[in-house]
Amino acid sequence: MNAPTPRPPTLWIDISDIVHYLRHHTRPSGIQRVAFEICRALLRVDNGAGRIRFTMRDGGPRDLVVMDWQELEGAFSRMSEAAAPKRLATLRTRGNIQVPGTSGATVGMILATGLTLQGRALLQLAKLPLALGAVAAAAIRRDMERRRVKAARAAARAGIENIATASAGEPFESVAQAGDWLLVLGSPWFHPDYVKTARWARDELRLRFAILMHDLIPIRRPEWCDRAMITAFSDWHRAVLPIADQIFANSRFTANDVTQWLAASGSTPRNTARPIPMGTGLPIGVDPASAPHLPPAGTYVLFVSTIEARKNHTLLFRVWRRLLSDLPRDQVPTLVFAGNIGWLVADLIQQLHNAAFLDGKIVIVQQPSDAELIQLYRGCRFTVFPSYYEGWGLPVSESLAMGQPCIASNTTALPESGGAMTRYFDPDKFDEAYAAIRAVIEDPADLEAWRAQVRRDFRPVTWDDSATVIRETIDALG
Amino acid sequence: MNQTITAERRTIWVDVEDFFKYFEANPRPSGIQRLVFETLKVLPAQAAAHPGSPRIAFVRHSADDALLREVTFDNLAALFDVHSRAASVAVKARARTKPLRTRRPPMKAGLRHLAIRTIERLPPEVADVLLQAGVLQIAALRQFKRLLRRHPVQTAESPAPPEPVEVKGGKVVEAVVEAPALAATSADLPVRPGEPLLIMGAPWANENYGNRLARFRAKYRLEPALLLYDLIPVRRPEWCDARLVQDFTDWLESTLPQCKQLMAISRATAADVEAYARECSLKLSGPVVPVPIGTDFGVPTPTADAGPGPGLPAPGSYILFVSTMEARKNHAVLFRVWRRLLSEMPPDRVPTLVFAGRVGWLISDLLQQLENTDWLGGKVRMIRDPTDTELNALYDGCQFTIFPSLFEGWGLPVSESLGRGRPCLASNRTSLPESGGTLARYFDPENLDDAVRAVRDIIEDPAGLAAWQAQVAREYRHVPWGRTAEALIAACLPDAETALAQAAQ
Repeated sequence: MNAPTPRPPTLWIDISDIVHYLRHHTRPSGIQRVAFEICRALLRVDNGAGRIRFTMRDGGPRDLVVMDWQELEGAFSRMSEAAAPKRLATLRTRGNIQVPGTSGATVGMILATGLTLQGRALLQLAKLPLALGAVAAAAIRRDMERRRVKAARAAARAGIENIATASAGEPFESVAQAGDWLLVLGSPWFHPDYVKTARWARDELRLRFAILMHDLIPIRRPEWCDRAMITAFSDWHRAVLPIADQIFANSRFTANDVTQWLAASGSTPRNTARPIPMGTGLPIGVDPASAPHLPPAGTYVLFVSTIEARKNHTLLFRVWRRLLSDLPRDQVPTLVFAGNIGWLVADLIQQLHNAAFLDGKIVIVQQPSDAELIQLYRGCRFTVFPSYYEGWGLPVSESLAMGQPCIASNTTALPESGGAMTRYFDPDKFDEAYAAIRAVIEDPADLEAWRAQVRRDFRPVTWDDSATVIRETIDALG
Repeated sequence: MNQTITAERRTIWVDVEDFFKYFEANPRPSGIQRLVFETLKVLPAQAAAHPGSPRIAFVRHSADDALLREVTFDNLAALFDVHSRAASVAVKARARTKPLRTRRPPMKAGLRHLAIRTIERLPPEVADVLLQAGVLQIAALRQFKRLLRRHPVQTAESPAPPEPVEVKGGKVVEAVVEAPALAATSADLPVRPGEPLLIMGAPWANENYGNRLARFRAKYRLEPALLLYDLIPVRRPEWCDARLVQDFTDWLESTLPQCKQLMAISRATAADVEAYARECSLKLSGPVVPVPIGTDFGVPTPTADAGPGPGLPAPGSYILFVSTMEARKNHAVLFRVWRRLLSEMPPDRVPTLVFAGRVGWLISDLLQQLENTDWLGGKVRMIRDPTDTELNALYDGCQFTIFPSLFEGWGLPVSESLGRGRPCLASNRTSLPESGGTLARYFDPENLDDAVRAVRDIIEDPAGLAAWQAQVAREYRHVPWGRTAEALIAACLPDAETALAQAAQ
């Protein structure tokens, strides 16, 4: 350890997971996008003082290299733009074919019926060339889109490789100084032995180690997670959390959850787990171009989320079924699910198909682009978020930031995310959810007043607020 | 059966076509076939005791679906017997690793399914065109086939002679029970105008059932009287196979208008059918009559040596949920209840939850969730495909049973649990309060707090549970099948009822 000139401690942010994600996935996930925004905000708050720097692990536990932020930022935005093509879940309706009545039919009638049917069969067959043409055209369009995405992704990836090589040769341990901080904002769980990196930084380099926790879902509710993820996540956190000098959390709920879990496994955090304010939304960059395939403004209620078991889409399916049985059909708004189709929902999707998406009253907009998302938010009557379990609940604050009221589940961190301006229901009580949603649908004047209140009173939290709390906490620890 | 027709004596014609059709495709009777069979067994005797002692005659449809022909109860009983026995033989055969052949669906249907599956793999635009063309083509061919058939059927003096039913020395002979004898030539069926045609099975799988009824009405002046079980494929298609939804909806739409009298297996179903008729602007000729459903299926009494059975949970340590695992039955809520119980109570005070039944459809995501939690550390167990013996042992050893289903036409597991002397905590939805009566307890299956409270109240009060058990054992009375038969006859012959009432005055 050569420390020539004493300087204020540097905050080294490990961005391994962001780079990993860019290398292996089409789009950054929620956690990476949050981590990315906090990185940017930390830089802004640092205001050129040079106390925020970046590193990533590229190999074994001690193979940390210094990273250049500008290049990563460029690659990240390119990647976000190169989103995969998206489409509306198509509802196929098969026209009912009326077989003419046959009771007491005469030979002539039967013959006529048979001939009519035969004629219609041939007519139907004549449509085949047109259908084949449409399929071919669609295939060509898809292929072009695929090529475009592939090229964009390759460019982004090339950028990543460049920064990695450009920064190589500057090993972390020759730059980092005793008293500096190593901060993990994202989810580098793909390094199962990350505890070795953390311990090396702490014990050999004399750094301090901090981590931002997003949730304990794989431990608290393993039923909703991928099997491999459950073990990896538990083992990783069991090893890493006890050696952290400071634990940050995205909500008071997560801070308590982590503290309780650590206590149950016989360990006490060195410093009290600290909730940080979360920015109210992720930047949605693109100016909305009108997308005609989306439902018209004012006709729908919006649920922005990956479609997965934990998010409780099932409840809304049942609520909408009941609305349709209790109210005239034209008074029931469409329900839009905007998000990717995730895991443990194959049975739900099948049920939606079996029910013909409640004859079109439920629509899935898969992989919405930023432009589509903006349009969906602007045109919705209100949003709903019935999730069972959230570390924070970004879609709730994001909805408010977009000026749209939200009816959300009252569990876990969601009341923190929604604050006083959101209305709540118990996601385990059908009647309560139904009553809350129906009341808003049936009282448009009240909804407008509520919307006006949200637009007037909602104070967005910036990511700079998040960065400031991290900085102050760390500075207070010296 | 007495064939004499007196001036006053009327006949109730019972359509059993679907009963025979069912066993062409399925090796084991389902709940509906059991219910039908139990009722038919006592129907003639019940009719004899009815004012005017109507005759009961069983009829099948002729090959071209245009005429009715009579079959005997023995034909029916032989068929049911073979298949119930085949079921128990199948269980034994499995133990001896000697598989029993099951009848495959007809080759024509197989080919059709293969074609449909192949087409559905094509791009949707093309598949739609081809499927529609195919459906139209099949419909056209069907018309032409009718045209060809028409002539020979009308000139046929008498139908083919019956094939004897062969059940050789108790040995099961596959597929020997074929279309049985005609007791009378079809055209001569001694129907008097206005006599009821009682339909109490599951005929929605029969094509063009509504058209057939229209023809029977036109030809024989019969008045169809239909027993309905539930409208689940229409009300909750999400939980049903797409084919069933289509078949059932078509059947319902074409059949209801043909029926003079509608009956239902519960008040809930009766109300639902009336609501459905209103929604479709269908005018019913009268209210839908709820019919009491017999509860005694002749459950085998436990054998003397019945212990817990190898591999079953220890008696008294668990709560039992007997049902096919499928989305509608709401196993998901019990998973959430047990998760909550385990977080609120010491784990050793939480009884095991046992799911006993087949693994059905739309449940794989739930099974994966259970797997992900190691079945809540073993507090949830699934006893898959229990044998009758195992089921008896499971009932005998449970603290109580639980039935959280979201939608039922009746709720057999609830009455069955009570019939076996086990208390039942059931969902308060649809027909279940009728099935459980005052002896079962209820909860809202879509309110987790309510479900947790209901379960906790019982498991934390063992004395209360013992008292409840004693009460169930003491007070539960089976509904005899005679009452079902009696109610059906009364609904089919309402004027006889009126006459009786007048006579009483």
